[in-house]
Amino acid sequence: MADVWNWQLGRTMTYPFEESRPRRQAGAVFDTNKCIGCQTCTMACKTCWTSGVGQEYVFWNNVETKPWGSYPMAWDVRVLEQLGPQHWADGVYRGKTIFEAAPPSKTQVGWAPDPIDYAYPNRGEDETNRTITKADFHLTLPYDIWFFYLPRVCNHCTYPACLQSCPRTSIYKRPEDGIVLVDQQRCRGYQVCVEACPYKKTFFNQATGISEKCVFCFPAVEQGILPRCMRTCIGKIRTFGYVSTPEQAREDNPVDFLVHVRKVGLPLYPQLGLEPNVYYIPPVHVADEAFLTMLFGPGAAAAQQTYRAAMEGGDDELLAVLLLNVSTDRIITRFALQAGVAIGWDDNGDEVARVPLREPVIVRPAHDAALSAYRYNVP
Amino acid sequence: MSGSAEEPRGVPDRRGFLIGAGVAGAAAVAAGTVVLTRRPGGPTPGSTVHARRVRRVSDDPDWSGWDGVGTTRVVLDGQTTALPTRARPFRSHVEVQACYDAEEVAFRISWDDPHRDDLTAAAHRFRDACAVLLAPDVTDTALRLMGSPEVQVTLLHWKADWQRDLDEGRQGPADAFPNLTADYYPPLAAGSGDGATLADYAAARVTPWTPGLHVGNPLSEARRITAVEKLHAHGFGTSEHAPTQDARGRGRWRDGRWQVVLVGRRRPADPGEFPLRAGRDYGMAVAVWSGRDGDRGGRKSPSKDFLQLILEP
Repeated sequence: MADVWNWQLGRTMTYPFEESRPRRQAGAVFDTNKCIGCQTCTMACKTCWTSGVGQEYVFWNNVETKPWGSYPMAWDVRVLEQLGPQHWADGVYRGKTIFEAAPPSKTQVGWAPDPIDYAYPNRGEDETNRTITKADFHLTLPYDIWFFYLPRVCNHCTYPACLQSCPRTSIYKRPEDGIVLVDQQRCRGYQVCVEACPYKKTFFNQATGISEKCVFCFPAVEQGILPRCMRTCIGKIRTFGYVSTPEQAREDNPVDFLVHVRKVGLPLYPQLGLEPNVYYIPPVHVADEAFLTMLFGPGAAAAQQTYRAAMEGGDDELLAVLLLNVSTDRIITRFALQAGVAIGWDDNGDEVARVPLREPVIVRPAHDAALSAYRYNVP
Repeated sequence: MSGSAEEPRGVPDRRGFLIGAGVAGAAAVAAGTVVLTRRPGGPTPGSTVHARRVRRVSDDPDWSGWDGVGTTRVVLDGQTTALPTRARPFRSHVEVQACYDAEEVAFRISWDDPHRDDLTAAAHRFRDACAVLLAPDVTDTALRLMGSPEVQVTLLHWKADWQRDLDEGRQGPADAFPNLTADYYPPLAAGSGDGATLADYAAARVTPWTPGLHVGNPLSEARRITAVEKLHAHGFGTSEHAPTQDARGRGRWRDGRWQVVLVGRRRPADPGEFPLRAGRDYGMAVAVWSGRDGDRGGRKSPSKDFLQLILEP
């Protein structure tokens, strides 16, 4: 085991391999406040990558309803319960990661889903679960009647559990963009990676007999184009680009701006220790700070406040980045706010998006004299 | 990042081997059947497999010829050298027999297993399996654990699910989930849903939809031609599908017991292979996997000792 720096934990941690960061790291920020759970991303991915025989249950992209939804069944709580206490103090994680909690015979804690665990991808969808207290017998549940959608893909982690677990080193992280891939020629279907990945984003193909995972649509990304799940996002919740380490963050990089400058983009279950590279803006309507801290770490409450302030007109720069989401198929690697317009440029320096922060308001008379017709407002 | 090719190898117990060489040599003299002289560092007593010459080997586990071949009781061990590990063996021992003819050498491995695990077309379902490792030098005991960076070993690996594929047709999700239904699998033709197989993708030349098949992964082949895969290895985590697949075999589960025959060619077919000559001895190891216990890859029950394989003249 080596000591590696995990900036999301604010400390070093143990990992089976030395720290080896890619030249740049592909990453994304998902705004949970704008996700409407339409599953367009899910189907865009499914029809593109996993529609073959043997992939019936495979969802490289899924959207689950929190707190009750999970795919596979209870994927998160089943690994969290193996970590022990997960305390944060002054921004530093004091508990154990999945690597540090490992028994001597393994390099990480984990669990292996059975087929039945994959049987209910929509379990808990839109579930509000108002607690019934007036009947003779009732359950007291830990959460009140709120929910939000959590879209999930592979996090292309800096310290992938799948990669380190593979006995055949069939999984590798590309040095040019940090995308984590399974070598389809080398894999022999041991499924150790399926057991090891705490996010459960590696899958066993039931026909080919080997494991597969999200490829971040690398053929598109190599051409500067967004992955399909991002490109098709109806709610335009997804910012895709490249995420830096905190000391190398660029203010004009949209992903860095959300993650490092405004700190509204937070990692999913950072305490697991993988330094995941997909980030989430926490839902502002959820008041359960303990739950959000469990999911997104200690910055959740501050991120909610920052986001609320922007929505109330107090932070046009943050608004600008969010409005550029999915405004083009091209990957925006630089942005600026000029005269009330958000502008995005791609890797080549070409302007690829221009979005006004505020649409002009036009008031028309109720009666159109030219057409001799009355106009109706259609909400 | 470093790779698993750097994983440590087993440490030979030279004292045990020397004692074993002396005892075995004395027993052979007493029996009046000395055909080979043990070399220092050879295997321990009870770890010799004598391959008897026969007119023609058979891959049938029920072949009557096996009755005339001696049986070696091979003690199994756990595997704790490389992850994933198995602290204790699945069974205390297996029974090993061997014979050869002008072209091939055959091994019959028998062990008790109450469960027949040969359906693997679902998540976290693993196969029963067994394997024979063949090494050119019996004195290089480090080769017992998948060879070494310097010396390649040959493996014959029988897989219960491949056997089922041969006996009952290539298995797929519809075997694991009998109620599975689908309208169709694009880009296969409409109506292709229920019962679609990898062979359908191969026939329609649309294998990019089945990545393992598309890149030629042997696990993903559309049709099985053998239940025994030949592999080469240079240490833990390095096993590779051999370029020439000339091994064959057959396994049969009956009344809680597997009997599996693995047959390999005596003549080398690929670089790094070595001939199996009559009157010579070789290094050998066996291993079994219990699918029900989650065995796969390095999680297995290998023979405790590095075995001596003698092809009797």
